[in-house]
Amino acid sequence: MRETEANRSSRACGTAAESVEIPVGEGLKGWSKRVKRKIITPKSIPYLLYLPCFIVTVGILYPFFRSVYFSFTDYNLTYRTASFIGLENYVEMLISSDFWNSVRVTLTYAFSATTIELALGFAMALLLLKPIGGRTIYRAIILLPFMIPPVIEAIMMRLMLAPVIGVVNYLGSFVGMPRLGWFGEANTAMFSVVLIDVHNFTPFAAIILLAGLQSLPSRPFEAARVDGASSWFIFRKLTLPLLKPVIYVVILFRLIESLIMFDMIYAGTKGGPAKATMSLHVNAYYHAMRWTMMGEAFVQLVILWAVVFVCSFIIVRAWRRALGKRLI
Amino acid sequence: MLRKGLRISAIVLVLLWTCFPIYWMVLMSFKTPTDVTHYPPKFIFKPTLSNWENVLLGRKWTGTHYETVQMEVLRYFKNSLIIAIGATALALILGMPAAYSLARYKFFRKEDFAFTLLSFKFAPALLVVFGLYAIYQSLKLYDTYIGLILIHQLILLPFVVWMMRSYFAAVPIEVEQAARVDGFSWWGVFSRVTLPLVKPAIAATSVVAFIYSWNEFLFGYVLAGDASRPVTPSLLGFISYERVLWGQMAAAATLAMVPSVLLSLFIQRYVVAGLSFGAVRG
Repeated sequence: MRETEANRSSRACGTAAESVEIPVGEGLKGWSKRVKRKIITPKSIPYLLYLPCFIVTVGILYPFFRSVYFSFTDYNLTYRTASFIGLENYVEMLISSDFWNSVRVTLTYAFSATTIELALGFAMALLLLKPIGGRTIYRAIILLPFMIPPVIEAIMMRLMLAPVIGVVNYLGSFVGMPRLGWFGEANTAMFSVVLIDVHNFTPFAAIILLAGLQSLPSRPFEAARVDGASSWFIFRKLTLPLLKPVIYVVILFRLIESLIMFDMIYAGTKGGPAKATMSLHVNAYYHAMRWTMMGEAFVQLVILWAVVFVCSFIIVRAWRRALGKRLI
Repeated sequence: MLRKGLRISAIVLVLLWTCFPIYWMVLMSFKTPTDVTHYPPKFIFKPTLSNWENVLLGRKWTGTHYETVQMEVLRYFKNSLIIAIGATALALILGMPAAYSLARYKFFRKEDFAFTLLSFKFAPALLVVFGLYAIYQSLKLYDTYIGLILIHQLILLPFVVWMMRSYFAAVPIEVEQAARVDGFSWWGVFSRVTLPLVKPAIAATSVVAFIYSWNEFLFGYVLAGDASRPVTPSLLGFISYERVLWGQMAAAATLAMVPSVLLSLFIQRYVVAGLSFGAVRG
């Protein structure tokens, strides 16, 4: 029974061998079979498989390009009018100091968060590599912060880092840490937001790097140790190159996600104080929601998207090159 | 000996750093409002269950009787479950064939297709949200499960496709060819040979996709009203102009973390494989 079923559907798929067996003109059933054979051919299978996913993603292009179009208009929510004004919004943005402040904030935030997460994640991974007790338990515990939604993390941290009643300043006072303003002061706000990003997402980096370290082949390391190579040399010449694909995945995800981070900054500082943490994404939100200047908002979002696109393109290419023949 | 001591203290430090905020949050959920904002912060206090009563039963003990309150965390929790599971399932159904196609066949501008798909995940959410809001209003998708599932699955889809692609590619093509020679149809090979081989990958992908959907904030905040609001954006409801209900928010946030934590404890190996995007096979 199973065999005949398999046979029948293989015929529908149109492999060359049994094409002779199909009787012509068997009524509706035969007709539908022939249509099926016409559509489902070995050549069309890859496209047919990709089609559902493609259709769904094309759906999102409509609101996406609508937004891109609005970045060329003076669309204003209050007046509900939108007339085409060309590049005026872009020019206006490029000469406004607010915009450049946001660019600086976005890049500082993304690059410092990614760098710290990568370094700290690596340190944590190396620390947990040699088993002490159950590694599984450490892994589970270390992964915990990743389960906190970023919004909640930011709000909870706002209480913990409160300048006067916060528990962090309180505990810090025992080890001689000066009382910091954290989110409340312009010069510590950026540091604080990066700190909660690091707390939330270092587990991600650490766990991936740990898994990568565990999957490395042991042969080259033994050989290097027999030859008397120093552990720094081994790390630089063996571990890092072999781990490259994994490192790229960490950089890709962390860099991109922190470039477009909205939840944490909005819930943590709302872009303040004095625009010290006003990233492009948050700034666009204010332009749209508070000042109803959709055109300006969309310009910033489109520029942010372009930055993200270029960054991800470069990293993905490097990643694929590092993987070499291991994938596809 | 010294080295071992250093290592252990470093590990303790790391565990403190990761766990302390969560510990503090759970502690806060058992505090009365005065204890929460007390200075110096209280580590030892008289625990109260009233936050949890409020969150789980939707009512507050006022001393003489139960007073019903508005926050319905459990309902939002259920909304989140429906949306996250629905979106994960839909993303898998749509994404797996596409992933298989990308992994197994050569076709026109394949890499461009794959990268464009990935770049959707990296578009700033607001860029789509504003346009989507108007569309959802006119299509009556605003504040419905279906609307939220559709947009959530869309942000999960690139992840699912790229993940599953690397796993499908790791299945040796000879296995499939052998099954083909044994008389299996194309569909037979896919469903009886390839799919069982990538089962762990499917588990990994769905767990991580679930967590991503669960933690998502902006779409649930803008595109959902009260009826279908997921639990993560709903937690902002504890913040009002007059006060922040810290204790209740901590209880609700702890509750909201439970599914992800359970998933990651029981199938942690898969989570690791899932997070690494297929570069590491847990």
